[in-house]
Amino acid sequence: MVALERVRFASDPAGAPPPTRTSQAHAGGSSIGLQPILVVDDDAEILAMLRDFLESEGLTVRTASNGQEALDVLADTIPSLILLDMRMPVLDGWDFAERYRALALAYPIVVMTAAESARRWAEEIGANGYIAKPFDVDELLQTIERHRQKDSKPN
Amino acid sequence: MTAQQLLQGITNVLFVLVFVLVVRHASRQRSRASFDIALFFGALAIAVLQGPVFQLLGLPPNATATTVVSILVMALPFLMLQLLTDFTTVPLRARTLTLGGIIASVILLITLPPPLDPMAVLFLIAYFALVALYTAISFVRLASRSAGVTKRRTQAVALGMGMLGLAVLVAAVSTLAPGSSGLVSAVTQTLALGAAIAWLLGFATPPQLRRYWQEPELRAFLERASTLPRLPTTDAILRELERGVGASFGARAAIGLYDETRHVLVFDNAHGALPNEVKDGTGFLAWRVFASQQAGFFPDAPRAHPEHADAYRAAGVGPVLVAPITAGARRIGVLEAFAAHRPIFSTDDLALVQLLADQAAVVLESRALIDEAALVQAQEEAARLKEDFVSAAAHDLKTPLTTLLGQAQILELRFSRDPALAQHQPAVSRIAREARRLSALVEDLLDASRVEEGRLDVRREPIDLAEVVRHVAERGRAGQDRIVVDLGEPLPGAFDRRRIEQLADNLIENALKYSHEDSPVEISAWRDGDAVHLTVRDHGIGIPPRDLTNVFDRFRRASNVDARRYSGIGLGLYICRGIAEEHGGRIWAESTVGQGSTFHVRLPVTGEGKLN
Repeated sequence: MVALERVRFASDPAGAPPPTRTSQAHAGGSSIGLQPILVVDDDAEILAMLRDFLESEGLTVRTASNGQEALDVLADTIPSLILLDMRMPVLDGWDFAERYRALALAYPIVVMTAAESARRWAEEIGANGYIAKPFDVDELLQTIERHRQKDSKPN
Repeated sequence: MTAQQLLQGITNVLFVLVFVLVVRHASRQRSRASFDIALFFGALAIAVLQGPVFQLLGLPPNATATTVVSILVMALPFLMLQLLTDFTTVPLRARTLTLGGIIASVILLITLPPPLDPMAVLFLIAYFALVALYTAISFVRLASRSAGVTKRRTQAVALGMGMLGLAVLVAAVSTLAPGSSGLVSAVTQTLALGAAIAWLLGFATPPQLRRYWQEPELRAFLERASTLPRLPTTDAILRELERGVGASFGARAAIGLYDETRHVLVFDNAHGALPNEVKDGTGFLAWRVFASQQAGFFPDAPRAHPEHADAYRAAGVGPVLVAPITAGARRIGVLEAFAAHRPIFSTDDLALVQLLADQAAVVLESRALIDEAALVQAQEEAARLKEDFVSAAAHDLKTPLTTLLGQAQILELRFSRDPALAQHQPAVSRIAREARRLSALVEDLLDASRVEEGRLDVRREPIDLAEVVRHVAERGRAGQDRIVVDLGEPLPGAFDRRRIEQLADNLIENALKYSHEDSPVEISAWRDGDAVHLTVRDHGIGIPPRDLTNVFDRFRRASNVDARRYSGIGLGLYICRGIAEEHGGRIWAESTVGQGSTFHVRLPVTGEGKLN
């Protein structure tokens, strides 16, 4: 996984996940807030695509390829939304949700899965919403917009 | 009347009784064996009856009569041996000696005037006793090779022969030591009575005793039979049945199963007596019995089926018993028992072989049921695996599809924003559209597999069905102004919004697809009693009457659909039916070929439907 991350970051134009401020500058005065969207998915292609797309839509993005990595990201990041795949290696969506609740964190979560049980799983882990793969990108944007935390202001 | 006279009287009555019974038996079943038995007891009956009859009629002792009786008595050993040859092979030497013995006896009895010379008496006694004991021993050996009732009866016959031989030997003692005549006479009488009883049991077995003797063999067979259906293969069952039947008869047995498609009886283990396949019209005893469905006893197989005689002889087959194996109206096959020599009592054995054949039918039927159940289970398992496979494959398709569709749409979005790239927009739109279609196809496959497994997972919520249908129709109308919507009042009810959308979407899409671009597609929905009724009507190619119900089956399309012209894999209506049924409702179609189709969906509003 580490190697994969490195490859992915290396191929990223920015070379590394851009810090919030850089991202804000990059967003070019978009009305969308500064807190990053945390995308958790074990499929590298989906992660790369979502990072590319959401950043082009003026959002900042952090990625994690499993629940454990997502927890690591959360240690120093306050996301406006977590887009969470459920079936992942190392730490899956359910275990992630459990640890996450144990940490008393309460960022909005949108479950993003190819499984038919997307809605049920979202309810199981107390997520705010769900989106089934494959999705239309405008549908994704709408879902993100609907659930994203907008009241926190960047300093 | 002394006790001894009483004993003699009873003995004589028994001999006559046995004679009457065997004559009755011989008259019912004519065979050489029954004739020989009747002859033996006939001679015996005349010998014992002559004295009392003369006494009764007040006739004086008559020398000629005495000589005739004596000759009849001396014929007994010969008749005994004759009887023995019906059941087993008797060496030529024994037969010759016996024949010589009777000739010598007759000469002695005719030429020498009574009272006979003691040496002559000794010769006669020795001859009689020797043949009687030889016959007895032969029957004992025969008994050891057979089983069940046959064995018991053969033993009884052997006992009778032995006792007769002993009685004659004991009688000889009185000739050698005249003083002991009282005791000797008592012993002789007792032995004679014993012989009479033994023969009664052996040659004219009372039915109760026959059943009693049959019971252990039958019980052993049935006990074995009850475990047979669980053997791993039908072949193993057949071999066990053959072994069990063989043991019950002290013979070899073979089962031939009827192969309906080829119209032959298939024997896998016929001991070389039959070919592996017995065909119709070949004269085989097995086929004759199979055709007539009547068990048969053939005392001499080579004679009954002369064309095949050499093979029977080579296999050491003499008499054959055949019984049909039949379960109700289903003709399963035949059971055939081969014996090297004639079993004594063919009628009993015929009943027994039929009983065993019936039992074999039960065993084989049970086996067939077990096989059938296993087959159904395997089919279900295969169907389940197929569903699992479709489901797993569809899920695995979704991940790359997510990227494909997403990326195509992202590019489409970007191209639309950048005038420099606008010229490429149609191309990228095409990719996005096809990715969406592929994604819909995968979703259809998954839905079809959910319908198949009955887990469409309908989630009811209060919705206005009219509003949902209107929404779908308007979405469809984007490029098609031929959609005519007739929706009046709201139609509230607890339905699965997503599934109802899917249902309406599928029906509208079909209506648009299979009708001319100018013709209207009419959608209406109304409340009808406890149900809502939705119709989607087109003026298209229509559906032939024979396809009206099966268009709702999986992967089925109407026969007038040109697959090259209309794309689709035949899942849409199958899923629609699944959705309707999961809501406790139903879907059907009315159509006239060339004029159009109307699809009706009726969903109960109050009913809970099938809630998972």
